[in-house]
Amino acid sequence: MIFLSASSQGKAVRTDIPPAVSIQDLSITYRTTFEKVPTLRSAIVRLGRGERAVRQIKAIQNLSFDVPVGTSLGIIGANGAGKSTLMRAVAGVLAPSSGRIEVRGRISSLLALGVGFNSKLTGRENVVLGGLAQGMSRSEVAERANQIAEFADIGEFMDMPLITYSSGMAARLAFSVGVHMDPDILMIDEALSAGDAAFRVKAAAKMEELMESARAMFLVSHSLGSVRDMCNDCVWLHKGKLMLRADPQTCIDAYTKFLEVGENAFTMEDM
Amino acid sequence: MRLLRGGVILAKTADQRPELRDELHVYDARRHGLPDLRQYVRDLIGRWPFAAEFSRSSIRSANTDTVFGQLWLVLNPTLLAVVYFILVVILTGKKISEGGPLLVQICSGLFLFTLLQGAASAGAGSVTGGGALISRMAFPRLLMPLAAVRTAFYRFLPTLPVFFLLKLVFSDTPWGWEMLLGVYFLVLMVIFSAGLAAFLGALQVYFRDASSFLPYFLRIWMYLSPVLWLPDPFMPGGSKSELYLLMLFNPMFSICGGWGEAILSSKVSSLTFFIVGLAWSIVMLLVGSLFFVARERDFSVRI
Ligand SMILES: Nc1ncnc2c1ncn2[C@@H]1O[C@H](COP(=O)(O)OP(=O)(O)OP(=O)(O)O)[C@@H](O)[C@H]1O
Ligand SMILES: [Mg+2]
Repeated sequence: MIFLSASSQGKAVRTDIPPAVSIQDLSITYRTTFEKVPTLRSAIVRLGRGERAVRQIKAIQNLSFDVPVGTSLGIIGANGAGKSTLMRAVAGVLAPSSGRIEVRGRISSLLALGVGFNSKLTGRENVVLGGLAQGMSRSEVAERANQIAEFADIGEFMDMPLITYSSGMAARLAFSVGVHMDPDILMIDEALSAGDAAFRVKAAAKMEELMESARAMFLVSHSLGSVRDMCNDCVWLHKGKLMLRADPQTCIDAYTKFLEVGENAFTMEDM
Repeated sequence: MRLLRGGVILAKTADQRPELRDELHVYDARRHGLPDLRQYVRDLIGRWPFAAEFSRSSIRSANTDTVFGQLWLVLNPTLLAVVYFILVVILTGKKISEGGPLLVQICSGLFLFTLLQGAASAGAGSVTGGGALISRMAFPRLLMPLAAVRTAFYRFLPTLPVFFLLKLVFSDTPWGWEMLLGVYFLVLMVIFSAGLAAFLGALQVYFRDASSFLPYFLRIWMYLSPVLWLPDPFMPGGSKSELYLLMLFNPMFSICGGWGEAILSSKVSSLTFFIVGLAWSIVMLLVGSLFFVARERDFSVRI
């Protein structure tokens, strides 16, 4: 257990002002084709047979909740529950199929640079690309890139192509990018899992620091321990539906009971 | 820092507390249809540095910024020009020894058409090949095909001096201020390419094999355009002038034709080329980019 101190929970949740994020009856449906890739040829063949092409995957179904300013929200749930999908929708990358999302503030998402964009480019080049895509100016990005390099502490690898990175190094870089983008709303999707113990301590400290200035934080994690330690609120998703919205401990208890594994040592250590 | 999907409302809250200074992003379920275009264009311009950097880094990762990379950029279209030159010589029965001017003529058209080809094929793959950028970041997607056009343009630039050198050595065509009119047609070509790249980029999301038809399509288009041949016979008063009106339906007839007349023959081409070329470029830009923008919210669930 690394995130022992839980000072982020000390920050007051503000219900008197509009919520940082408001999710209203949100549904997201992926539309994939039966074919591996949709092609003109198969479209014509299908037209001849009168088949329907798309298959719909309902990743999020009628989800509604508000995230007040000051919340650090843990999001837990089994694989395929729709956690990453929800994050991508809040970040504005995925358009809702129905429903509505309101976000007040600037989003920085760790899904942004998860593994980088172009593995042939160096870490620094990827950071610059990501920053520019988020709308930063060139000088801001250059300055930020140095801070990011310093925080990620991956040494000379910052100027090496991304393919040469270990997964832990990539995770360190991704985390550093997310926390250095001056986010109002920070979203972290399973980014801490690959870092080593020393980096996790550093990351936890940084996140607590950020919570002082950030309006809200979303932490998607399978390590229930870090959700309990870092969050003051929690949702549990299952198959795209909201199962429970409660304080982290209640959610975790319910979730683990649901999974029938109990809070065993493995889950705790796995953080 | 405004995102566009779903439209954005800049909320000036009455509350002046600093933590409420920010804008409100609303993402709703409007999947197709156009966003607020003025806002979109503003955002596009604001994030142009991203497209520039993206294009620059793709040039870098293709090693085209090295000496041999640059050399290859020039060598590749030149060799292609030589291939077409031999083809034309064989088909028309000209003597190779008298073929210098012909080679220069082919280069003038081919180098410009390579710009269109490069933009079209890179633009077609720009969204489906965008990978993590598309699936993880929110930005005006039109920047992807535009970056492809920028790359194609920067690959085109080094071939210009080669053309001028060849013209100096092999051709006795005149040099004059009229050559500057080529800039106009180059701009038209870039605008047209941008529209085409956007159109193909969006199309490719729905039909992934579109790009495998593309090379054949582009090749046929090239043969139908004044790239290897001069537009003169089709002009009013020429030997095939009955096809003139039909030819104007090919945007490249005006754009490549006007380019060649300016840069190769150093003459002011007919006003028709100026007007028809401009009209085609604008139509292509509008059709391509509006089609793209109306569809772009749909891209991330389909990739
Ligand atoms: N690009 C996609 N195309 C089609 N279906 C997808 C796509 N991405 C995710 N899905 C589907 O959406 C559902 C939710 O996926 P999501 O990635 O949000 O789950 P998750 O909760 O993040 O899971 P994990 O814990 O494994 O990260 C799954 O059923 C998945 O198969
Ligand atoms: Mg996930």
